[in-house]
Amino acid sequence: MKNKIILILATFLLVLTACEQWVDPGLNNDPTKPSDVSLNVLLPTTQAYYAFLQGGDVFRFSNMFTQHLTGILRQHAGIYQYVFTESDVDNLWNSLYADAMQNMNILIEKSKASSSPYYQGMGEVMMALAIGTTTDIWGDVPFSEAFKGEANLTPKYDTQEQIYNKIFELLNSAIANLAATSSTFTPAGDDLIFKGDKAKWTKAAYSLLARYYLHLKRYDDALNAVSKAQAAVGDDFIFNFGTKGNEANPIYQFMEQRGDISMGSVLMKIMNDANDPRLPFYAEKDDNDEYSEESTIGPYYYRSEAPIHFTTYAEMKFIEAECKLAKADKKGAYDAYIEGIKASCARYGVAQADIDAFVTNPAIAVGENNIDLEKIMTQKYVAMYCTPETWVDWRRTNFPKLNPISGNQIPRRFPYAQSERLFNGASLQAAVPDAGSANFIFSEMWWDKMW
Amino acid sequence: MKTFITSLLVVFLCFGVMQAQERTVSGKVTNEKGEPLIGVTVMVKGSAVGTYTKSGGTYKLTVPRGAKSLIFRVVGMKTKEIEIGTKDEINVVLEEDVVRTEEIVVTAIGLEREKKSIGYAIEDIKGSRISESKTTNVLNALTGKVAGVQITNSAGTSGSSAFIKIRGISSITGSNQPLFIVDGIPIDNSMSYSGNPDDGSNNLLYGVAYSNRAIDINPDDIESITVLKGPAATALYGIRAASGAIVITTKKGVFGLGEKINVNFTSTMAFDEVNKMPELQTTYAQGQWVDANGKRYGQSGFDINTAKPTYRGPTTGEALSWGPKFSELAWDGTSNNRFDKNGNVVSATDPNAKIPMKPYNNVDDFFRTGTAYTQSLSMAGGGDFSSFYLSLSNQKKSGVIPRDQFERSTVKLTGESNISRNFKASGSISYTKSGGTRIQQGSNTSGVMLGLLRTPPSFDNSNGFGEDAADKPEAYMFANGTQRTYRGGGGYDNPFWTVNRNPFNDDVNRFIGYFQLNYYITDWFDVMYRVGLDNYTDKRKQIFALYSRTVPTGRTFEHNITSNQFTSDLILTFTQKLTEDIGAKLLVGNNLFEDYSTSLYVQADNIIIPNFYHISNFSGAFQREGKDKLRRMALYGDLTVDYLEWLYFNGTIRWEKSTTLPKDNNAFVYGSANLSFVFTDAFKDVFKDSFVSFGKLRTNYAVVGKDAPMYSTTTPFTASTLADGWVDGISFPFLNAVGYAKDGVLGTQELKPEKTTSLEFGLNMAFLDGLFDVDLTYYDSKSVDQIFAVRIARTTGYAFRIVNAGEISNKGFEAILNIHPFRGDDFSWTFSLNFSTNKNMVEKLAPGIENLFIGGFQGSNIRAVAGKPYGTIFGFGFLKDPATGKTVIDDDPNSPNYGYPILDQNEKDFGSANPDWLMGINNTFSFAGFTLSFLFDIKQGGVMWNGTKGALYYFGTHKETEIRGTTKVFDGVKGHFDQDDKLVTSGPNDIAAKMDQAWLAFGNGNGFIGSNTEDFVEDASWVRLRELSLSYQLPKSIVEYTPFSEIGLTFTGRNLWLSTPYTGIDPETSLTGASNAQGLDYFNMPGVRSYNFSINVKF
Repeated sequence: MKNKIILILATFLLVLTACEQWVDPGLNNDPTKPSDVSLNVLLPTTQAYYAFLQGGDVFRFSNMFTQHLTGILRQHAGIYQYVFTESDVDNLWNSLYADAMQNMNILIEKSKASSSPYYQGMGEVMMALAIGTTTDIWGDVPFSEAFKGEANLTPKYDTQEQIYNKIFELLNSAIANLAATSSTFTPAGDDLIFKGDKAKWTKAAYSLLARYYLHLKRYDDALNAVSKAQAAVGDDFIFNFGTKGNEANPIYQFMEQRGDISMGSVLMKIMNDANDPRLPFYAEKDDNDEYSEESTIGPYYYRSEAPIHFTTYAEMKFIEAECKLAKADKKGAYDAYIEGIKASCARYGVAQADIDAFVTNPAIAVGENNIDLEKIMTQKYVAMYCTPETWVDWRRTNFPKLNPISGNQIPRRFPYAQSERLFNGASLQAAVPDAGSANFIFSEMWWDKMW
Repeated sequence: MKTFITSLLVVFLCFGVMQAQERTVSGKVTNEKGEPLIGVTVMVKGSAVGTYTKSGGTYKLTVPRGAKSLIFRVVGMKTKEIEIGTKDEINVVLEEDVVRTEEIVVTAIGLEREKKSIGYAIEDIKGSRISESKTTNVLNALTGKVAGVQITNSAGTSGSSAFIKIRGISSITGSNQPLFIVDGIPIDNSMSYSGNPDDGSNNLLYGVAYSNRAIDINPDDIESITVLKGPAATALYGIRAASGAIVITTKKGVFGLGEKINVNFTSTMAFDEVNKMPELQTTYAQGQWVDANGKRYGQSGFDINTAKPTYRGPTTGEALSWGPKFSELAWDGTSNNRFDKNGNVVSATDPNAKIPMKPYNNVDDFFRTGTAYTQSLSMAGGGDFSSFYLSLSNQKKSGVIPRDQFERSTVKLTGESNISRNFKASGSISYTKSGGTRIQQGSNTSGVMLGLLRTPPSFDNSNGFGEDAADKPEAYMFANGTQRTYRGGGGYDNPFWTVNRNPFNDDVNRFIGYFQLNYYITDWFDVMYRVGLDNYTDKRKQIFALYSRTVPTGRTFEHNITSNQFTSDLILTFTQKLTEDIGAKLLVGNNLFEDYSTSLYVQADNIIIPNFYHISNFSGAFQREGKDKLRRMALYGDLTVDYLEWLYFNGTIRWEKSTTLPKDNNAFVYGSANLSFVFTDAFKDVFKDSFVSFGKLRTNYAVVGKDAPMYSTTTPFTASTLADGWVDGISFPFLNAVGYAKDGVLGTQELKPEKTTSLEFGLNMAFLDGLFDVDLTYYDSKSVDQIFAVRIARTTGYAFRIVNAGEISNKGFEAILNIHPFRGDDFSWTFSLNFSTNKNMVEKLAPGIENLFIGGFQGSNIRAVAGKPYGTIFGFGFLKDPATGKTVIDDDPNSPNYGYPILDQNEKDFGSANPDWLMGINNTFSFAGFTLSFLFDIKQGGVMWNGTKGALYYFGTHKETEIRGTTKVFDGVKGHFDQDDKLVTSGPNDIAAKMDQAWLAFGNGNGFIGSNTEDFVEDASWVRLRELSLSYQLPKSIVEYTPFSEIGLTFTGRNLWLSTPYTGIDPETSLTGASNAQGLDYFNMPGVRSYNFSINVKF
């Protein structure tokens, strides 16, 4: 009996020893998620993420304010009438920082570490674009202390001036990096925008320089940048989506799955008055067989594989027109204005004959003596439909003239995100003390005050 | 593992062959009146040898030499131990155990203990009370029957889940569901949801009502359920039982039955009907205000002064029912309106007006009487050395919603065998096949309640087919395959379309089994080894037909889930009398546990050939794969010491190691101590002949730990995916490129286990020979160092950070009262009442985190907030004047909001779903073969967000929107913000504001586009007749002419009566099913009332 008991107890101990390996700490690494990744899977992520966001809330909210669009139903009916709260922008803010820019930052850091300037340059262009869009929406935003994880849980807010300086720094660095003689890793098919074409990326970097110089009234710098930016529609810095469900354009997805917006009355009036050949591309006819604010978004954007425009040759031409006009070069301004309209029509697929006819239409062909800022900005407003840059343009120039949908003011910025108020409130409060006030969304940001 | 099994084999080979000389003992067991007792267990102490008494109360048992005593045990009688000595005949008289204190209950890891020795609250429910409830889900059968346990059925659809909460929520973001144990092995009771995995728990807001996996248990197989409520009761289970445990013991065979086999067959037929629906208006048609220029509200140039309610029919895509009165409209009787068989809608004064327009009743046309058919057969038998139990069951259910179906078939075989006098082997295997067709619900453009309740009364979803519409494609589909909806094919799915064209099917195949060996080495030392497995596959397929509103281009997804849980327990038990007065029992055990689940999700979009739902027929597909594996290893000890069987001490200790904790800090220790003091036995002289027949004081203190969620220690990269809250979003692979992004959750190596401590006191007394008894419990528990992901500023680059902080406390009181006013053989009446109250408080969250999102929508959601009860509903409400506390009514005549309350820009708390108290009152009467019992279930307090109503205000279909056209002076004070953003008030409000579309649909009067949560959070208290059951046992005189030995007929009604202030569906509902976000009603499926008729025969 005693032996049995001893044997049993001994076995019990044996079992315990054998079990030691049972609890293998390696099991706690998720087998479906890599702990490190290469540059060629980060680059396409950053491009698609940013394009999706710009084509989402950024475009819809800003284009409702510019009255390119009408918010007809549900939440969009509210935001259209400026019922716009901090929770409405939470998703956008969160994704810009924690999805788009976070991975751009990792891409830049990793390409530096592996001496891959081509990837670094593309990452920097994307980052300049993303933070540029972000600051133009909110003004002062975190950047220098952002993306540090545990090391800094409450990043401070940089002033918009500091952010603009950072944008220029990023773009100049990108131009240098893209011109490097070699790169450890070289982007190719993983670059969903230009398939690794560094020259086109360099032009894209210049186009962004032109845009952001213009915001600061730096006309000479802007004109200089325009001269090195896109020179043809084929150079356009755009992102094409795909035909599969998970690759679909965000505007298309919104129209299919929500549909709470229609065309804006201001845009429709301008285009109808000019008998604009882009109308069938921009909008669908309404029940009365007309293009009106009852019209839904048209086939150019209402398709799965539609692009999202970042910067285009057309925009460069309008920037050139505006700069030249400011420098009293009316002829240069007018030529650029006409070229901008042509480039825009070509971008949307208007037939060459129709383009030629349109630019001789008296509503458009006003002659260099009659060119003025309103005409340039109005045509830019049409050309850059579905991009947030039109909202920047309206805030700068107040063209085209818009009437508030409700109250007596039109929003000039978004409210800050609820997540910042909740989790980084002290930093927000220190930088933007009036962020929570009722009139905050109607107030001017740093560059807005220059105009 | 291999080594482990080998060593085990060695043990059994060494001791497997036993030889012993034996002799026979026989006798008779009677009660105090001398009546024979049948079915009494007679066991040789410290061995596997035993039998049961047969008719006449006799038994015969072959006892091994060396056997010292026999134990006689049966429910309802006091257990007796008799020394064998040299006797050949042992006759025993058992005393009635009126207060049932010596009843054996199953406690942690399958230990059987006498009730009176237990120092913590424990309740056990007999299997008959489970099966008579006639619920598909075993959890629902517990509702109202156990103090301190709240069960919330998520919906009235077939196979829907139930959420169970024992003594409040204790884990902030982890599971708060108790551990489920069947015959000593843990089984999975999770509820997995489907949908694009990249959408995470957002998938809970739409989709279908899923099952929690306890639904795979056949309720008729259950012998008893023990509910272990507090950490002291569950400490031996370790981390998985921090939220309590539901210990299920299944039926076994009967030793000593000889050639006879007990056969039991039950057939049940049930009918379900919807018990409560939100009220809808029947006065106004589809449409909205249109001004003289044809402009609508919100369009530029809209002139409210010339606007009037205007009919806008399906071709306009109009969403709202803010149109004219039916009395102003008529149909023209022509056949050229493809949306209505009565023709086009014209003004009532139009010359073409033929048929006065009348409202349709879409709700009545849609729901039907659900049916369920259940057959259950069991056989139990056994000889002297072995026994078996075999059962088969099938349930087929069709819900109150057309096409809603659930079917479950089960087979279970359990066997026990005494291999020799020292060895007992037992095992069980059960197979369940379950699943069905589930219907879209919730925040989902294909959700049936969403489409149904938003439909204007002027549109007939059934297209004239009424209740037959589900079987008539013409009702919901045009010839070209497009959808017939009130918004001309846009908006929401026609409910008849959804049920036919967007089915979700699940198919679960599950095996649960165990194998157990007991080796009785001596009468003071035995060894038990048990290995258990719970393994299932759950294959799911969702179809969205072409033109379905959720995905107009069509979609299908396949979601295959596998789950595998393995448990191994090796337990050594030592029982010894230390002195004449002190007995001790020590148990030492080893436990290994593995949980391994996988999921494969394939979603395909853009269907090419309509109606052919194979992945190959879609132009876009993507996959997601999940693999979750964790292991734990524990060593535990359990020591019980008793003094003269009136003072019991029990202590447990468990050392556990888990793979989910950081490598260098992955082991931890916790334990419990409890004391039970039977003062009526200790002071026998004092209580002799007093009215107190039994009294016991108990107390316990326990600490239990909990490890981290899997994969919390690192921050890897994840396949890229992005959505924005409006649309499905994008995911990689994208345009043939692979994409990865940094995970949004920051892991950490700085983790220590969560810890729950609890202190409990209890008093259990019985009076007047058990005429009535009471059981009172007070507990105070605190859960600290909680591991959860907190939201952080996204500017850090991450969405969440894993922290080890936070504290939740639960304090509560439970009372149980049983009265037996009559206990005669002819007539008996038992009254029982259970009452419980739990005060839950989130004491603190992480530093800098006051506020944690648990679930719900932007604007109205469920949170954990420091200083408030868990699950508080947050949202927007109206500004209150700081001076008077009254709502501020806008008195700025230029404001569009003039006369209406001003919205507060700050979010507010509107209470939680936690009830103030719960009560179950049950009465059972037995008379001449009839048994009548009815259970009232009372829930006092707890709120629910009636998001359905908030949305129906906007759409203008809710009954209460019939106030349109009236004016209202809101209760409050007048006020506005001046130029400095300062609130200026000016006395009580006297402005008559119009109750119209501008406020109710487009202003903050609704809870849909308006940010008004305040008006739509409602008291969800109830009193209901949860169960009523009437059964009749046919008299022997009739039964003897049949081939059966017993025949019983039972009627059970559930939810026959409900009284509640809640204005929506039955407030026992949960949008997110068995998840922590309770208290949300957003187009949830309604609850049901059911009538069950069953016949039970025994052979």
